[in-house]
Amino acid sequence: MKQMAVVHELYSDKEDQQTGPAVTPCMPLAMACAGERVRIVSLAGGRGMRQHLSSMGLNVGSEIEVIRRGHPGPFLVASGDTRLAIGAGMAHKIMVSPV
Amino acid sequence: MSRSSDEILVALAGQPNAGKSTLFNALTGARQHVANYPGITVEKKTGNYRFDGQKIEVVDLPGTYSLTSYTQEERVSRDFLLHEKPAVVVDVVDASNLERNLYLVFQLSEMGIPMALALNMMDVARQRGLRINIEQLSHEVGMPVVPTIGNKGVGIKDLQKAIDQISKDGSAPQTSLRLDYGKAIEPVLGRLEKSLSEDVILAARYPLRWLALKLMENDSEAHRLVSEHATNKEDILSNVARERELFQTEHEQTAEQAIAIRRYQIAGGIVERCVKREKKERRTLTDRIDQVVCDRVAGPIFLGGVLFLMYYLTMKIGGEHVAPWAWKYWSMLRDVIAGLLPAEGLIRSLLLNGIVDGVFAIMNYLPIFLILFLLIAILEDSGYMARVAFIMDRVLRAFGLHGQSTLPMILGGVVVGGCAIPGVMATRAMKDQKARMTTIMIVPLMNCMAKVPLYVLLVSIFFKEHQAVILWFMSLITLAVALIVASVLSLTVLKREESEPFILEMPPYHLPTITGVLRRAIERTWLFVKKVITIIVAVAIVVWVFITFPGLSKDRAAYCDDQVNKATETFMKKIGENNPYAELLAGPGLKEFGRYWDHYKKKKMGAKGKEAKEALKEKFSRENPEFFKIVNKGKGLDGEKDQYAKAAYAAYKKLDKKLKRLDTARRKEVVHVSFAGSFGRFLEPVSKLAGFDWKVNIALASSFAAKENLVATLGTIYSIGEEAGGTLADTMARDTAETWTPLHALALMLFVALFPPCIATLIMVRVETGSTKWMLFAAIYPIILGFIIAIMVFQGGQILGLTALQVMGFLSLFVFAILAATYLAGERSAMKKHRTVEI
Repeated sequence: MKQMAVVHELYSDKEDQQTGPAVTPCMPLAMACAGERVRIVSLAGGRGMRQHLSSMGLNVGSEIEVIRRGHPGPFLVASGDTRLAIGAGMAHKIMVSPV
Repeated sequence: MSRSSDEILVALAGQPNAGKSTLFNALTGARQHVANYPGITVEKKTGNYRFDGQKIEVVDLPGTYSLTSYTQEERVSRDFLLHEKPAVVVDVVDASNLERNLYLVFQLSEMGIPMALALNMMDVARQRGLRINIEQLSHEVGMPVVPTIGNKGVGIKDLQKAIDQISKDGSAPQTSLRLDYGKAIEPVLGRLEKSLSEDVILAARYPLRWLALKLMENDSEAHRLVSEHATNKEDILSNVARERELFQTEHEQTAEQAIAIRRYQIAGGIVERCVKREKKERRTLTDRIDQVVCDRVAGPIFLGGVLFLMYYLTMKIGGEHVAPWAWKYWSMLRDVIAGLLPAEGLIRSLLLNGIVDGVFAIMNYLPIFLILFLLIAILEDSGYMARVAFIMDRVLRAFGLHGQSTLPMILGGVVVGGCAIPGVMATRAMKDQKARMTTIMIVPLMNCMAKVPLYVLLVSIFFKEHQAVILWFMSLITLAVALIVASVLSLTVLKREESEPFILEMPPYHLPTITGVLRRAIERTWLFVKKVITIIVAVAIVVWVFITFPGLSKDRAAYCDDQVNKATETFMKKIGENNPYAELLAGPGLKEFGRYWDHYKKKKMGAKGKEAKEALKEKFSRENPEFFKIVNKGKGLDGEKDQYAKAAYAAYKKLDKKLKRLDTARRKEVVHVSFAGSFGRFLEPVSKLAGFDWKVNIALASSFAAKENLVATLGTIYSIGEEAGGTLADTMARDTAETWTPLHALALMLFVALFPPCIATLIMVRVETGSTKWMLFAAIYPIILGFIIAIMVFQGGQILGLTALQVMGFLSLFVFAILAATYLAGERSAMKKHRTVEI
């Protein structure tokens, strides 16, 4: 589980975390290409929404793959073995960085 | 919930798509009960089984991704675990998706209830090349882990054994899984837990570590629990607020973020140690199917095919073959019930015409619903329904709707022939409140099955050559209007409702099992029948009162009675005094004979083949040989002719016609002077604008109870009596020949299409929205909208001197132009919203 190791670093190593997000180039998920693997940098939206996304497996640090781009329509992403459809609106609020 | 002390209560929890329902069915078999949690629309399923002579009561909690207070389902599950304190919680986990599922396992275990893991869908996991070390997993999570395959019944016995074991060791230390939240959070939790433990009530009621965690997560329900039960709530809550603030400044992330990340970290660790991936299969079969089914071009085409197949199976096969076949039995049942009711008077009229006929009108659709629900269950269980939402979201979103609005709209009757009641009920699955409300408001605009008979009736009279075109026009124009209405509503009155981004799990495809599909379809049909019957009974009484009272004035009633008496006298005179049957047919004898006559005629019509007819004759002759001679035109069973009986037959035949005519006239008059009739005439000056006369107004008013009444009431008003013969279409065609044009018919059809939902649907709207205000809104706006369109069609057509077909063409152009404009505007506003986010 490589992705978890990465999260662990992010989490436990505070110095890294402070510089991390600023340095990594990030973009909205909506701009990722089909087939691209990306890591979630931040989730916008209310607290309830963020928790909900978390419980569905979309967390800061999770690695996901864009299976199909939306525009128009929802994006299809793979998070582990789960396939999620994410509305275009939401895809603009999830910031990711390419892996 | 009442349960005796010797029952063991087990709760079944799990994330959506983990196969929880299948496992629940496998555990409990047929002994199930479905209800709603009090006051809300979340379903509560309970069932039971016996193990070792011990009765085990199982509650199937709603599927949730976690136990926050985000959705109603989550709150329900959490409250149940907190307050009902089940002896065991079984978490159903998707073995092929362990990491995410562990998230819920952790949250459940923190509630301190003894747990077991049902590691479900082992077959899917194996197919994907996952090898799970059960022993290691059980050790890591500190609870028994039972591998199961719910739809094949594998592992059920083991699971029951594990539940039994845990419930017996109730006194043993509860689950030994204790997540270590790391050096940042643990000290805070410790401090909070300590301060909470000083509160006696809280300490007795709730697991404190759980409460401390929830408070740190800023969970609204946890706040509520503290402020309701704690003695020094201000201290605790301000303490929590301080700790949260401190944490955030110190760690540059909120406590709930840190907690969630930590949970995934631990879950990831466990999966890494317990699961081995044997083959690295990046593209599963599901992915390959999705490649086609979710494709931009192929997807909608495939969906169109599926919808057409559904339409074909429900309306063509179900509506034209199964329903008429079933109706034979329904009408037999109806006759049996009619026979049990009191013979005459108001009570009979209420029970039979009001309640029984109302219920049976719906029962007629039951086979169609069963087929529809079966097909939908197949779509759901196979996983395709999520793809439907995915494909449709793109289009529907532009109109303020949601991908998940598709199912309610299909149920409501997009392709002619649905019912708004299950449609409105199906919106329950939608999380997006704004889209859900919009969907509820437009589902009744779809073409429900009860509207179709009127279309068919009018089309067969006025548009004989263009039947199919008109029906397609009706379904397309209503869909277009519904979409426009949806976008107007979501931009105006529903603007403030909470909206939510679209996020939906796409479960892997499964082959649905026969029992699973059947069970779900029957369950839904039954739920629907129960709802409809209770509502119809209430509504039928009200409507019956409106079209029956105040009844005829004394003079008119006396006049009608007099007419009947005169007819009877003529009859007696005709058969003559010296007819030996005269005495038999005098006074109450005549009524009895009337029943015998009707009964015989009916049976005779139904009897097919010579043998059946002979048997019938014998039976009736045995019942009453004298009466039989009369109804058999003077011939006895032995073939002997009786002149007197023959004369009585001829005379009674006339009398029967006369009486039926009088009865129809009387009923017509009752409707005319009834409250509904006065109402219809009162509205005539206004409704004339759209071409509706008072008769149509009455029919429309009565259809408010149930749309089936529309054609039935028109039937009562337009039927000119038996001797005219022929169907309603014929009599109406004759009756309306001079006054009605196809334009009248078109205006009426469009009005009916948009007309307010029936009362049963409105009550469902009330239940689902929880608001009387919205129910009234759903009742009133369609009247205004429908009336405006009807006037446009009728007046426009008359003034410009267009034919109905030309008006239809112009209306279509007009409506679809607006639709296109709405779609483009919706798209653009969505794009704009995205851009502002990016900046």
